[in-house]
Amino acid sequence: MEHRELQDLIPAHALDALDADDALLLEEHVVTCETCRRDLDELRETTALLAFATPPIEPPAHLRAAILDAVAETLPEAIPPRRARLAFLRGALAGALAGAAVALVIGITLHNQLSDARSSRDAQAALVSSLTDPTTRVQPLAGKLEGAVLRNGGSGKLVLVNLPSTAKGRTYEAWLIGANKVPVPAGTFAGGKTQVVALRGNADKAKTVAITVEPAGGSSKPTTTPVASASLA
Amino acid sequence: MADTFLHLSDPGLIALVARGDRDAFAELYDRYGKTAYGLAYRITRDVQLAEEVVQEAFLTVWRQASRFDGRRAKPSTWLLTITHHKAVDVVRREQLRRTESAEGLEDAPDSTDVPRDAWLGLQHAQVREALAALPDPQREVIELSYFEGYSQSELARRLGQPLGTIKSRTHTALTRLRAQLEERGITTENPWSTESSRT
Repeated sequence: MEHRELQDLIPAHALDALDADDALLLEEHVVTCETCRRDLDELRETTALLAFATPPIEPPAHLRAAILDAVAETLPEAIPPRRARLAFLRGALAGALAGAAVALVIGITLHNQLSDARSSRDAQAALVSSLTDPTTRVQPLAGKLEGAVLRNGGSGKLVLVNLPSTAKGRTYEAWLIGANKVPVPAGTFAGGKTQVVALRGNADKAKTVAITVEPAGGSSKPTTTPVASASLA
Repeated sequence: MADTFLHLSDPGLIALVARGDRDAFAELYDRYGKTAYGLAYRITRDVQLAEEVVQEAFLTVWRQASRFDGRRAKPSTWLLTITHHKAVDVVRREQLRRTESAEGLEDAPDSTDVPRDAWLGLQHAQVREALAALPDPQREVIELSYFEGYSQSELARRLGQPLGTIKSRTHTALTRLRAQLEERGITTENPWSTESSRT
């Protein structure tokens, strides 16, 4: 089919009203034709709004539970490598099954990265020993920063990889958030290739660790929205 | 736990979901589950099938979040497009639909939950207004295809019109609908479209 004919199919496709074979042809076409792709995307923004013309209905609670259960058993498709240098880490962690073995792998990996980062030998040794300790729990960070929270009893550490520098006069600040949802300052730190930050306070009671960017010296409560966080289940 | 994510925009949530963050996913469900379920119910007219559609749609969102391309669509558009697509598939598969009454939106589900969310309520009212402002033949092609799952060739048969007429009518209808929506300032922009609008 010619570009012109395919173009005519766009409005119907935006409504999911094409027969399967035509829909397939158009989908293939928009991969290479930028004009048609843009037209289709624009019309989709319009047709998606039609969804709001139906009265919203609260779905049954069992549906929410079923969906969240199903999600707990599957992993999303991998993020393309460029977007996630630490994907291997997250992938390993998401399984979170073989605690010691996983920690060992991460330990070795981070150990290598730390060597690059000119961290002190003692700090490396301490980190690797805490990572290889089977009682250490590892939770990857979600958000704009890459890294993980390590917790062993009440003691918590933040490991950050490829941490961008903050703007001048600003600092990173970590927060422990407990059941009362009040963020408690857990220490400030600067950017740098690899950072290991010991969290101040009792990490055992925290439900969430969050990181914000604050004025130099830190704040007593967050003044910006977190750039990364980890839920300590 | 999901409270942690209230401050995050939709694109922020999708990015977290792509990394396997279940709390972010739960928050996304809580934002759009009602709309998705309302839509799926409207199209399938069956509670069981609507649940199936919503479950499949959200699991697709979970699995394919890494493929989401923010340059092509807003997260809500993407999610609702997936939901719509699955609902239409089910309707065609099950040969459902087609109670001869084509009143479209008037025979709304009886379990209608009066929208508690102000934005959702306003959006609902305005999109219906925009749709109502279209000339009848144009509204008809939109309603029959989007809400009843008719394909273009089925529409041509049902309305006794040549396929070419249906095609061009669909085109005009969507162009006008878009103008009507724009006139009312309606977009998929919502309280969660950008950062920092919720604290």
